[in-house]
Amino acid sequence: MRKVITVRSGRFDLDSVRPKVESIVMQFDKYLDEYPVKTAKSKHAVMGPVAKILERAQTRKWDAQALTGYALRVHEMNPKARGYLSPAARQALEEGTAQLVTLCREVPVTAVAKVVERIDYSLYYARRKKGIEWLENTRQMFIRFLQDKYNGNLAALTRSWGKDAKDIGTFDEIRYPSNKSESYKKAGIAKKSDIDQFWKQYADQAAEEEDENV
Amino acid sequence: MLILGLSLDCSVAILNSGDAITFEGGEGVVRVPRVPALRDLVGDEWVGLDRAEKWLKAIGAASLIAQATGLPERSNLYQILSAPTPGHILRRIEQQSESGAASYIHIRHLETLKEVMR
Repeated sequence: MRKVITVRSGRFDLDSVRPKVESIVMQFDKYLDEYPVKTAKSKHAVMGPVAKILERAQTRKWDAQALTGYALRVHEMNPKARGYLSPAARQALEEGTAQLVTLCREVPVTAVAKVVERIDYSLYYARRKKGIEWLENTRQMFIRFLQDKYNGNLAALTRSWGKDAKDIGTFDEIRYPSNKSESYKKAGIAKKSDIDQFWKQYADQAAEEEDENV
Repeated sequence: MLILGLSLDCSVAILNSGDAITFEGGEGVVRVPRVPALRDLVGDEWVGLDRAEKWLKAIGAASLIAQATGLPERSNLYQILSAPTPGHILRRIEQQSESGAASYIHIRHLETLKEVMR
């Protein structure tokens, strides 16, 4: 009778690939800094072509060059990108993809999905954090703009805005000056005019909320 | 336990009656209860002085975002603290939010949590 063949597989430690995961996230983050979508609401829009790269890399059937080519095409197809990608961003995309493909082949097949998920969410957090911080900076700029305009006098602002200022107790409670939201569309003339004036004056510095159709 | 240990500058351990005292003091600020999930979360038997404040702040941050995550009350703190990345919690907050977005305050709490995530 044949002897029993036993196999013992060790448990894969995700922390062992942490530096590689961080390096991949850093490269993709660098690339996405130049991707035209930054503050859109959906994860799909924020992650851009990187979401497609992550999805395909875990099948372990794509090589780095083909995957980068595919991602570049997705990038070019976005009308906001105008078919352009800087050499630095292209290099970051290439390096991130190459490192990802290598990592997916290195780790046990049972751990690939977990590793990719970690990269996915770490990158998503990094992108979303930047987006929210940009919007917060814009909100602070708007507050400073209003403080200058109304000489730091909140009562003057609430008088001017009327019902639009009913929930504002301090300047810090003023919300992001969206010019696309429902509250903007329903706002009175004074608030609308302040928001329009702000965007006219700070268009080159302020971060705008993006549509989903990108 | 963390507040007690940090404010009184001592080591704190909770023992069941009959448990042998196997420590001499000075091993850390707080002895992690003998629950495998907790020991795994902290990664050690004791929370050292260098990590105690980070853990205290992280638990505070977790409790502040717990409601926004919509996780069950009995396990939300543990689920938040043991999430693989802050991105997982952020996504959860976004999915639970009516507007579909998280706020700047959430990001600040997640940054605090990141200090202890493994």
